[in-house]
Amino acid sequence: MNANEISPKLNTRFKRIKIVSRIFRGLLGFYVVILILTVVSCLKSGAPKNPEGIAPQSLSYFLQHLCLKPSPMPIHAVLLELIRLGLFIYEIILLNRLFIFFGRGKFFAGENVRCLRLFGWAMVADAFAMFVNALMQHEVILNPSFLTGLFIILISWIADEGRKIQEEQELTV
Amino acid sequence: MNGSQILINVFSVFFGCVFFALFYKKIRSWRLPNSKHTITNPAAKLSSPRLKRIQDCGYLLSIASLTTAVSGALGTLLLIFILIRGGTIFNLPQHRLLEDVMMIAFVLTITLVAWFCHKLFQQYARGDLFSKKVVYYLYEIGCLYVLVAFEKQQLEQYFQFLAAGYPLLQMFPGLFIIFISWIMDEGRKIQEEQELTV
Repeated sequence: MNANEISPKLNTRFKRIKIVSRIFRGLLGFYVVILILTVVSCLKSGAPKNPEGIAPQSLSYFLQHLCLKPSPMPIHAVLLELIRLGLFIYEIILLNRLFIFFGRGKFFAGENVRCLRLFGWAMVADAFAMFVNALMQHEVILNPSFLTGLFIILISWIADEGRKIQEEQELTV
Repeated sequence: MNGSQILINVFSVFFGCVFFALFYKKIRSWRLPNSKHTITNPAAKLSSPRLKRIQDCGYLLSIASLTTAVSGALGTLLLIFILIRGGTIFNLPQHRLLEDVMMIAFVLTITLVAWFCHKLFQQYARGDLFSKKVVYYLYEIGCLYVLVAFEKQQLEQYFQFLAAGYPLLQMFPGLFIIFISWIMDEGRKIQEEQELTV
């Protein structure tokens, strides 16, 4: 057997990861399309679809109330929600990039780990913006995304350090 | 202060002392070098400053998560105690058992998440970064996070400080952690197979 040849079992694993990454990317795209369609339909009709069923702190509530005149939200809340919207789009882009890397067979490469870390930071920033927004409206809201973001940052750091250790060991004679 | 409050305080102090004694003993055993648990090379574990940094961080986080798990366990016991004594957790016009049970389940699930976090960080403190156990604990944390999101959804109407949102969107971080654990597992298996291939 040639040493450079990839074994069939290994090939199957790579294929499986590739398929699952594609499915996740498809689901992500589907979610984005649904979100855009919902927002467009709300903007067209000029009224929120489900004002009681959606929490006032959620991004969906903000999107559905953005074009209502007069606006039910104060200006600082609109600014913070716009920042959150930007972070949300950034998270989607990062996730898409991450799934592309996984699909290419890069599991813990440098760019991959960076993607994961940025995703974690975006989650933390989003939770923080939500907290500040609620605080300005004299409410206290705890979002578990803050801890999850920190957890993801930690995992990405561990993966990065593990990769560096392995590289150092490979260079050591 | 009535009798049951004194009993709870005495129980808490006693449990806390026993916990810290066991905890100190356990931590001392982790800090000793163990050649069985290494990433790839036993010698590297002692020499690499990177691994030492991870171990220190894992050690501190394992303490924090164990404290949370113990507090959560005590909280669960306290809630069960209140329920057994005929009290109610929520200040509702009429007593509803379902909501009380849901609250206990919520606290218990968070306790389990903290416990698995402790186990995961314990592995990091030992120097195991991508072992089978690490992947298993990550997977468990992901699954329990999905459960936490579901329970939180049910409790949001009683606790305004919990952030509300769509249930599927709240479950997403848990599903993402499960996915990362799977990728880690596959990466580990691929590396093992590559090491065995001549």
